[in-house]
Amino acid sequence: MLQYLIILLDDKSVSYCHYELPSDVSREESLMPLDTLRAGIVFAMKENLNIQFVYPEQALSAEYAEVIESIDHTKIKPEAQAKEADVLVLAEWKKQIPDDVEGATCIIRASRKELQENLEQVKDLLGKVMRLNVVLTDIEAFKDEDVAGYQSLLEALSDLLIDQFKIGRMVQLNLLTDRLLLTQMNNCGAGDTTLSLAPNGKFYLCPAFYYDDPEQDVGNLKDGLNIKNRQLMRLDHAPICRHCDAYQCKRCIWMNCRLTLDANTPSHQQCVVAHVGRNASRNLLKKMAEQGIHMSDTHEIKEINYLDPFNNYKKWK
Amino acid sequence: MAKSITFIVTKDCQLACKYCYLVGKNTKERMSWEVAKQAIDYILDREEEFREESVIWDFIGGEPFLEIDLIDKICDYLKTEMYRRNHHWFNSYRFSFSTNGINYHTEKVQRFIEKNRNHLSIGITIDGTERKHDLNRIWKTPEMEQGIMPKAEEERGSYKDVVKNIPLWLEQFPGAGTKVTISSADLPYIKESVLHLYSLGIKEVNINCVFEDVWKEGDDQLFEEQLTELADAIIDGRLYEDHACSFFQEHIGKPMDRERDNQNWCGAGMMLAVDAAGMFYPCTRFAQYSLRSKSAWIIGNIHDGIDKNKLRPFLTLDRCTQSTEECITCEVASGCAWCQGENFDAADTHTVYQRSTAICKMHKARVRANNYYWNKLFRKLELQEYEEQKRKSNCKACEI
Amino acid sequence: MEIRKNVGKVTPEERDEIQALFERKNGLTELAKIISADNTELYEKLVKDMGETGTKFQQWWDMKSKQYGWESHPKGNWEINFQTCEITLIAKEA
Repeated sequence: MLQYLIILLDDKSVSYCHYELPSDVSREESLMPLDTLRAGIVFAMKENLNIQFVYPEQALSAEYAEVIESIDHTKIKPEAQAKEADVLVLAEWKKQIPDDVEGATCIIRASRKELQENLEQVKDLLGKVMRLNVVLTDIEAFKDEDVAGYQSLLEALSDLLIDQFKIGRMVQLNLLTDRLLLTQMNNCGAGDTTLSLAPNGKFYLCPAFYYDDPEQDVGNLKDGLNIKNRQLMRLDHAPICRHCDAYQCKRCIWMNCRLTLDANTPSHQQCVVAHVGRNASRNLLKKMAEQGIHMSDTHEIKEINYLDPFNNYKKWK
Repeated sequence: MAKSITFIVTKDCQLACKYCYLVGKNTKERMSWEVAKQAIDYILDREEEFREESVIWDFIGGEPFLEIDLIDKICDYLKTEMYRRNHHWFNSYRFSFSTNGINYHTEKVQRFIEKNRNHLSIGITIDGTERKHDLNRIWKTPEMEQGIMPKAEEERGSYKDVVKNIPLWLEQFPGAGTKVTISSADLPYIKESVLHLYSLGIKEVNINCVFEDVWKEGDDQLFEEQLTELADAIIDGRLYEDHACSFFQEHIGKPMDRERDNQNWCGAGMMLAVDAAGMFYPCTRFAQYSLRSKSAWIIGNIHDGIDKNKLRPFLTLDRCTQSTEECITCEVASGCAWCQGENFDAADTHTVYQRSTAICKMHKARVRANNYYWNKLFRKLELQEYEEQKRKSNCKACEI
Repeated sequence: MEIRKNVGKVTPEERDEIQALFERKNGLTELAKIISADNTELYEKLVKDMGETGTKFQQWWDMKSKQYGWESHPKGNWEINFQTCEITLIAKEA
């Protein structure tokens, strides 16, 4: 069931997920026209959808602000427009962490290498925010020989978290703490619970599909939604994922479409990255127990002997 | 289990069958020896990845025997390489062909058959009576390549060119079966065609309706009538004793369990196909020349190898995930087939998880005729057995 | 006139043994048609292999016929049905 509508206010709205903005985003009318914005809000109201506005770097006029404020919503903003952000996307790694990030969920888009090289900044950030989402930008390039390196990276991040926990700050880091709190899949939900509205007035499964090819729309404000094979976005129609317990995995259907060519089938890379994360969460939980750190609503995570559930598929079948 | 590896040696054919799903046939895409060799080396180099006990090296076209020189070279190389490498497939391999039969008698093809006699499986497609066969299986004309179709009266059927080779084929492969395809226009000729094939000495007729969305109003009734008449002819003529027709199968037309009967129908993804450009596909039906409305589903190529991610959707396919609730709960579900390639081609999105249901009413008609067949046959056998018992007990009474 | 008589049955495991030898023997025979003596390495391997496989093949029939006591005929030979594992004696009557 649809619950969320992501509205890209501009073609240059900040990326808060795996996709990159195309380098040639130079569409003349890149801002969503006001009429479209109003119609998008009305659509969301009629469908009972929570709106998440995604902002561009440049400031919006008062007229836009007024329309936006006509409805309850969440603001996903780039660092340059940090004021009143609910979700703040940090632009780049800096020595100086901005002070106004407190209260917001912060998002950092980074490769594993960048993350490794900026552990000090991650440490600073963990000391300031209550939730940090790290979006890995290089999952597609993940190779089996990268497993050990990624395990060590997550180990190092676990230690940073433990340091925070010890001083009573129960900060969340999506890569490690999400799995501790989940008892069922908590995926991105693109096409199932979440849809996106682009500045052209068309709907997309998620912003990534829009940036890949604006022709991949699933309806528009004028004619309504037209999502074909919508059942394939749901967990029960994903043969690998429905058996999986890497509950924190985003199950990115955009990456599925790119790598396996089918929306309901995750790639080997996505599965392995999610499972290395899942196992790191398990280790974190063990460490917390050893050190007498208690976090409410955590759940035991079983030991497993695989990193790609595809390899177990025959057993499940 | 056997791995099926298909070489699409050519996309050319002498015929232009009207129901052929190969929409992109052409004379240009012929496999070169270099591509074939590289494909073979790629596969044989990876014995650990291809663990199936046996292999079927399958040759398809267009018409594969148009490339008999290449095929001969490929098969010689395969035999030599499998042996030289001590590959486990040397102990269990077949060369398989689906041919239109036109070149079957030629010296080159016959020499090839003689050379590989013990490892061959060759199916010649003959569709039935002359009028049924010639309705669809017509010769290609040079104009067709320019998109100009001949008038009905100018069409030239291929029946006579094929039927002349049937005795030789059956002499060489006595148990061979033929594959018959039924499209809407063929429906009135099903009974006569199957019986005609039996009369030619073909004991096994594998026959199916096309999976494409071509069925018209009333086709299912006509189909059912034909199959019922065929059932009568087979049973009354006692043909069931040593002939088979795949339309009649004892265990079709029953409900299927969501859990127990959840396997996929076809082997797409377990198979491997390679074309003239050296591209790999999960089955030939995913190559561009087989697809009307989608781009080819390429899983790799002979240079870069197979991208296993692109095979994952196929290897995790099951019946229920790709079916509608109506199909899952259908009371006559068993035996209702699908072609993964056609599903993909007809799907609303880029997926192999949307089952095409174009064949639904034809399957239901088949089930009704099939039920009739088995009820009639069982009753006949039951009565025969009763008569036999009666005869025996009468004899015993005589002895007393 | 040809006589065909069912004379016994082997286990599926025994069937697999002879089927593998049968397949290999056929493979070697057909390979022999295309490997010339110039290809020294393969030719020698093939000749040796044909000898060994032929011997194993014969040994299997000798051993099993003895073990099961299959009926024989001076002008006959046995055949196995790989589907049913049944052994048939085929002989020409004078």
